[in-house]
Amino acid sequence: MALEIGKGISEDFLNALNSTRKFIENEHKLFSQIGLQLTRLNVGEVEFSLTLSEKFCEAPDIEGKTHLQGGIFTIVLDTILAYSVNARLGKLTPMATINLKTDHHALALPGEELRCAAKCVGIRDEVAFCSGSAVAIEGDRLITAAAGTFMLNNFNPSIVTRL
Amino acid sequence: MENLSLPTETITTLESRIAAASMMQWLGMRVSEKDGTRLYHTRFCEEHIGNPVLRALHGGVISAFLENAALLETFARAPQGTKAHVVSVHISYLAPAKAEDLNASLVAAKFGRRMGFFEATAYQDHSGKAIARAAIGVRLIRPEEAANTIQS
Repeated sequence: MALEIGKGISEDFLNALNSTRKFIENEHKLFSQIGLQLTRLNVGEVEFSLTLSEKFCEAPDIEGKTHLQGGIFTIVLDTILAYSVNARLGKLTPMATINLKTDHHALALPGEELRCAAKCVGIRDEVAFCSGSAVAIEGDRLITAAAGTFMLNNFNPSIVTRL
Repeated sequence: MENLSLPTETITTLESRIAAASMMQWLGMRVSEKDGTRLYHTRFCEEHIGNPVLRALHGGVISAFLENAALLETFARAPQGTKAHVVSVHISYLAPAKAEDLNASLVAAKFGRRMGFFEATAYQDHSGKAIARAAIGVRLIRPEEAANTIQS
């Protein structure tokens, strides 16, 4: 899927993203399994497509049907909320999650096409405020919604960010 | 707040629930019991790392672990045949989580007929120093209620 890039995204930021993307998609033990594909990038906003495997499912129900467990959406949303902060700042910034509120609205199936989006709505005194959601493409079903805050610059800036 | 004594499901039954759920397997979960209170554990693996340089556990992994611990605790306390799913999780990260096993203790703020509200604490060493705390709401659907729930 082609990456849609909004106005205001600098060449420097795109280069920085590209240099980390290969590592994230292929070598990072957690993110390489999640298979996040960046599809839209605007200032303070990101959107990813993904499908999640049966590895992240809850126990099958009485009919043998299994669904993705909500916790995997918490992992995805924590990750992309942080990404939206980078997109707002236009640079890769070390940060840590302060808190995260996750609401699980509906069930999704393993292998189902999903769209996850996040927005950084503001930053005050190095605390970033973000929200996001995971939606199943079929039926445009909201699966999980999240809101979180992140503390910026709490690590040595010479090291890589959580993404 | 209530403590978590008087289990209706044994540790063995909870372990079989863990074995049936691939997400709990991925988290490397297990459950133990000490002084009538259940404790939940997750075995460290490289896939749980968020920042490979700091070697810190990913915050979402910690949240997912506590959420699944609350789900197991619900099954431990509810009548047989009850279905359950997590409604919401609100987690605060108090300290960095090292690349080590993770433990959790839970307290039920309220365990009712339709909802369970848990306060979960994640810790890593014997000092019990909290690295994250979460308020978790779990919806219970008892067998007699299953046919009458509203969906929209």
